[in-house]
Amino acid sequence: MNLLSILDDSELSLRSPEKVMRPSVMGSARLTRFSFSRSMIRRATSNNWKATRSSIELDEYGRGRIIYRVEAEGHVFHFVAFTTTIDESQHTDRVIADAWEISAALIEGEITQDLLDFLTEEVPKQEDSRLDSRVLVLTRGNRSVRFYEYLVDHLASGSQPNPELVGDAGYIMRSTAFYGNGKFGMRSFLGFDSKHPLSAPYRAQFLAAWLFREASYDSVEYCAQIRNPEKAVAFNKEWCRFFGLGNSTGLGLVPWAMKHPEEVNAWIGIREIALANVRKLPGSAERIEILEKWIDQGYSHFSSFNGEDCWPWMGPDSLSSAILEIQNQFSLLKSDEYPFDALYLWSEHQGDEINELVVSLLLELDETSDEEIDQFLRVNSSHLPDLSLTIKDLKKKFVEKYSWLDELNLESPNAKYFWWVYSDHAEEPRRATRSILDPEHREMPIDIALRLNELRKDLNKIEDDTKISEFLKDSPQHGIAINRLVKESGPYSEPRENVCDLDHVPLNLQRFQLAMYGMDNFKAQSTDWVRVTLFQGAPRITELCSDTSDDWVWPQQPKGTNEDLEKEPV
Amino acid sequence: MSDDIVSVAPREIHDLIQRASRVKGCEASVAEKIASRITFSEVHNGGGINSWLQIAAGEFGALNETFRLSQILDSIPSENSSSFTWDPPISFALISEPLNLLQSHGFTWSCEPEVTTGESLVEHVYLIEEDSANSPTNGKLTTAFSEGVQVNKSDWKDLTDIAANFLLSEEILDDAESLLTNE
Repeated sequence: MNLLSILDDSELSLRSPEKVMRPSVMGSARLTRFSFSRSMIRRATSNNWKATRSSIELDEYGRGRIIYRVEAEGHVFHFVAFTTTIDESQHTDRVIADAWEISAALIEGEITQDLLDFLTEEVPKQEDSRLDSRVLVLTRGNRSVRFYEYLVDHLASGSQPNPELVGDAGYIMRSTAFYGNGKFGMRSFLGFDSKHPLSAPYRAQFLAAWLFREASYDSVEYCAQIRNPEKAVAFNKEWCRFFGLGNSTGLGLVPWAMKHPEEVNAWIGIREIALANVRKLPGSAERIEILEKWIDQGYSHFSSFNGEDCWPWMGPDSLSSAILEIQNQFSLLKSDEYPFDALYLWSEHQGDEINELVVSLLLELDETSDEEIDQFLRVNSSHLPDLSLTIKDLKKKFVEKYSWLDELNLESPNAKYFWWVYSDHAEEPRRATRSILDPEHREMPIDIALRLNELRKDLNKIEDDTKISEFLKDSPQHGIAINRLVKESGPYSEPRENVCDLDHVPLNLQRFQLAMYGMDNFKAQSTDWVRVTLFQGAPRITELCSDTSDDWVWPQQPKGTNEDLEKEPV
Repeated sequence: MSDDIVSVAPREIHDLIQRASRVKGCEASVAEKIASRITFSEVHNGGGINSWLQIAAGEFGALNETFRLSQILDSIPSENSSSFTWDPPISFALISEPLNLLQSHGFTWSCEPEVTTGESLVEHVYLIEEDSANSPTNGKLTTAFSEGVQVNKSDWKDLTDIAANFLLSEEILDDAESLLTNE
């Protein structure tokens, strides 16, 4: 069945787009079972993917090359990572850096010497590289300046890390970009047929991210072994899954959200259908037990960290208190006929972040199959325009779909305060202030709300029976807005905000996408820049098997042994 | 692969043509349409990028004007058969996508002179309405997505150089930001 027709079903009692697409609600999203990191691991385990380390050639400083091989559903992939060291002063979170300690590519097919030579030459060049359709993903990152050497030294001396020193980090290496889908000549996403194991959106990027995280573990353990072959140990059970991959994200996610309405609708639509279904479920001992287990897991995770709120979001201390409150409420509501709906309705009055945390917990009860999720996520955003539409049709669509524009104060001087541009350094998206810099021809057309507002004003000057194609001949500047208006992208396609407004907070759209990816530990560094972790708690490549469960998220911070703590002055 | 050829993804053609068209004076919506048409042509007929370069090499505004002339094919003709004339002739790269759309609405088309690539110049287009819609094959697009599109390296470099002017200097952006911070 088609996602749009399901979303059109009035029996479903979906949450309204007026609520769900509000910036503060989007900016409160949390990872769910639909998040791409989890669906990737589920696909891998349920289809018996085999991942192995093909080779590791590093010196004592971790400089060299690591290659992983993945056999998946008749396809072979390799993740080839080149590692080096750079001076601490060259470390930066921004995509514009010139040097990276790890640069890597995910490729499909067997590795030949020719291909290896090609990758050795091109991959470290990153944005300046010229790749081809064998390459699926290009990525890079740096070691944690604070922790990498510390971890190597500890393992080399035969001891485990002190959680009080590294527990809050959550990662060994931090990535900044996972390029794919045709960039720099790589294979396009639509080049995967629907049965290909990487045919779901971002699955190739998440396979690469999971192997990147594996490389960070292997790099530390291997260096420790080289430095002290007699005494070195590997991470113990407490630590061997704890570290995820760090990630730092700037403004690039905002243009993506504004340019991909069908994808945004699919991501949110699947979640909202699942939530509506879960809310209708009657209570049963088994379901109540599942939810209580997840509430406990959330509490164990957040309460094992210390951390105050980090504007604009709740930190671990507040989140663990919130989960206790959720636990208390659920113990009062679980004997209701529809306890999950009751818990949801309670959470609606607790603020957006707690509301979305409850949504994330409730979705663990959903049983939508992975095949269905993947099918709904693979949207077709191509659009054949209907050449018979008239101005009257457009006016009707404005009333049906865009009455919310009136709430954005689009005639105010602040509505056009910012404009969006790509910088000439790694094409990093930036915001510029209109009163200081003239956009000339360089403005990114993601000012959707402003464009729709201008179109709406101009339509009032045109006869209703005029064909759109005739109107566009005289007013071609309205093409983007008209396309947006006439496409049936779905009810959850449009964030209800003006990204050029003085008061626009990019963090909301950033967090929404990062949560969909499966990232957590949101730490805003400014209004435009956020640090997160992903794959914390995920299985390592040697643990991947059909028994791997889907409850690996939200791990507890290791406590360490007394012996570890005694060795380390805090 | 020959040294004169580079493999590119369809989205790269689209992105570069879109940006380069902005540099050459097109509004964003027009640039978007031109990018869509040129990408379609490059994938299905070849020669799209070269056609764009030839038009863009003309007077400032030539792209806007050529696009305007191509818009005549953006409506469904009111007659069962119709013809269109361009004098001077128009590049096939700018009209192959609208012709494809008309084909999906049940029109068959022919060009005079006959077209071979996106670079072909067209003087006349003839449209005849058939009984049923005829969706053109997408096989070339599927191949383009999975294997890339082979384009002339020199054309690609020229296009990349023009499109680079769509980007704004990091230094200027940083200076502007610090002005704001110091206000």
